[in-house]
Amino acid sequence: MNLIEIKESGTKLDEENICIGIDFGTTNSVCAVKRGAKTIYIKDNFNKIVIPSLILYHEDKKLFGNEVVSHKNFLNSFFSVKRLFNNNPEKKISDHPSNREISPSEIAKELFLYLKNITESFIKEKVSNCVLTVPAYFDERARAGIMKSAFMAGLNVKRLINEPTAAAFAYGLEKKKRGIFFVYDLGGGTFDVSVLKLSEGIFKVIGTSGDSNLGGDDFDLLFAEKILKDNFSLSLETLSSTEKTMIIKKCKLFKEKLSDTKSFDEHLKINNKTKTIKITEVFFNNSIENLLNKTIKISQDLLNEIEMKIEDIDGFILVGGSTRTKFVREKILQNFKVEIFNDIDPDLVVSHGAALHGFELMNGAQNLLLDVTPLSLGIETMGGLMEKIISRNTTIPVVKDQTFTTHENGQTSIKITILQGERETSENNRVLGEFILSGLEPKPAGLARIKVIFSLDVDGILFVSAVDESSGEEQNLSIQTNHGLNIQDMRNIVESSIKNAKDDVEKRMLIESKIKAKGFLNEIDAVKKDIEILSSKKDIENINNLIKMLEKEIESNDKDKINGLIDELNEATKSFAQKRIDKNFNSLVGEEVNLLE
Amino acid sequence: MSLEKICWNCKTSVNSSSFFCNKCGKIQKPFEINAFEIFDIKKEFLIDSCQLEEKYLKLQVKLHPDKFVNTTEEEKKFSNHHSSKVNESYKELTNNVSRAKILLKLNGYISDMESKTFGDESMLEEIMELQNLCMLAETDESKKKANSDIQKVIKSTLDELNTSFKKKLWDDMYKFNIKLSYLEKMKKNLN
Repeated sequence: MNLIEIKESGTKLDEENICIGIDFGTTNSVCAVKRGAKTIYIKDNFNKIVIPSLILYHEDKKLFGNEVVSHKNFLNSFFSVKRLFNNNPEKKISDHPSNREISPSEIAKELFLYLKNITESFIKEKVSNCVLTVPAYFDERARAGIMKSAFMAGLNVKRLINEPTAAAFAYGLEKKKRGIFFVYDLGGGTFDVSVLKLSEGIFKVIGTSGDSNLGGDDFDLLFAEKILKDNFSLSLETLSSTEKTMIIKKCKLFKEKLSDTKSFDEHLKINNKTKTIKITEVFFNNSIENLLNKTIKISQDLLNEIEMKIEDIDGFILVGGSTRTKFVREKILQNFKVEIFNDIDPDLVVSHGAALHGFELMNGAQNLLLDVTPLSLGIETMGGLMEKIISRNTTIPVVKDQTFTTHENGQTSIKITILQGERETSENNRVLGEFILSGLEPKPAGLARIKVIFSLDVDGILFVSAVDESSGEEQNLSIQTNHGLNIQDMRNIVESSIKNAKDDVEKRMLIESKIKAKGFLNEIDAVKKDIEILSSKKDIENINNLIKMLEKEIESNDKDKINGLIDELNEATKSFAQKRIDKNFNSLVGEEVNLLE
Repeated sequence: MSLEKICWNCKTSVNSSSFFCNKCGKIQKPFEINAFEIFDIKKEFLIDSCQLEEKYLKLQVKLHPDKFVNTTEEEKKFSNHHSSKVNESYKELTNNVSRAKILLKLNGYISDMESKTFGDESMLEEIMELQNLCMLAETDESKKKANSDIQKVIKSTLDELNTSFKKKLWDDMYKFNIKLSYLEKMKKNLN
């Protein structure tokens, strides 16, 4: 050991150099870590590597992963929460039968915490750094959401990388694959395809596509639907939610059984009717064929888009548990005459790649990984159209700007709506956020020049800023987002708390309080003008005071004081919040934007 | 060029277009640089794409944010800025239309859509004709035919672009570039 390099807090040295790879899956999660020359997979108390992404609240206890699988109340667990990140990770869901309300983001945090704990007890060392994988086709909001959950669990996410890219990285490094490879990644809830060029020391993604709502879970649904229809003349929708969950989970087991045997008989009781049904491979294949055709179409479209032919591809790399289904392989071979690789376990390869990347990040990267953005980014222009600023399959990081103008005389503010997606009209794309650019110099319509700058970082996280160029000198205008807390702020909080807090639990609680506080302060900041209009002088003074105190307290490390102030501030702004709902503020600033060329 | 700047870290003078200080090796602050200068290639319309890719990757190996995970926030920001700029410039240079635009701009030609009309009727007719061909192409075979027709015109337009660049006929170059952008769009819509 190099004695000169000793840091002030010597005990933290190891923690800072270890970086685990986490594949947080819809159905299963896997953690891996590279230490020295070896990559090891983390095992839980059951000696298992593959951890089902399940959480069960039972009596006063929280059970996770394989603890849930063997539990009698297995059916009451929260499952497939990752899918919900496509919509709104903050929207609460409830379990059955206790109707406990909890947000997907909170559940994910608990799962991350569990993964962190089993990793620590397996390698017998503290862990905080990680590389986290996400589906390539995840949009900006889903990425930021999953990252936030990991931060809340006290994990310092050093990098988000795309799952197919991680898999290709593992093949490139461990199997020394060189050439152009097509990664076909069919997980429990998401489907990704990526084409990569693997050369010595450089792994470059050429293009990516997918469907963030297509996966092995859908196999089970379609399978169940067909069993119900053909045997009971029923559909899933008509069943009670308990029976529905029961049959879907049974279908998952049937599916697994079919990998060993071509057909078997099963007794199935639905609506008090018991029948003996014959489950065959052909029957199962028929039920999922349409879905597989969809994955083939997405694969073909990607090749067209990047102007490549199947002859240019040196091999298909299969990733994700769902590619174990024999029919998937058959379908690929039917449509593409190409060599298929799955010699690294499809369930483990993503976490393996993430661990390799994590090691490189912390100990000096020997290999360059160049990835792309899966979806176009832009803003809404006049008439509800989307103007693309960064187009899909652009290599990240990237900064691009575009100049726009006002469309009404004397306009002093504009609303900028940030969009993500491929459709022409904004209503068909995902709204990532809105901000209001105010304080423009009043000018006749079309004369203002507003430069909007999009900066997309290596994690696929977007930062937007705008400059009013027309006022002669370049001026940065204040931007109000309703995006809450940005990733960089969160990362800083996690990093500073890891250094400062005494023990693990305290550290995590502190991180959580700080993130909450910062997010809340940002929200208040975004509506500050409205507060000044709608509240009494005394209220404003009180609110401002509390803001100052909270800002100061965030710098300290007293979580109780931070939480106390959050509550007080919440109380102080309550009456304002009500008034704001009463008044429709959007009408003040709803003007649109024109494109300037 | 012998313009120089001062390294923010060790205060020695550094060539104005270098990304790193040759004394302390630190990554430098963001600075103005055009796409051709980034890759240190000649400001020509015809470029060697293999050589460009090689230079691009070499730069990214040094500048990519993955190499700066354990540095200060400032250095991370610089790396993000430079790496973004290198990606963007590479994309601009590999695309014929945007490369021509950069060259026009570097030669002081300001394109102003409002005041300059397309002007060239025969060129317009040629484009319209091709457009028609594309619209009518429905079978795979007719699409293939349209594609190869467009490809031919693209090739000749590229030659014309290069000639007008060499002869410094900026108005012509601007015009051919608009034609090229139409052709590229048509080709993309065909697939």
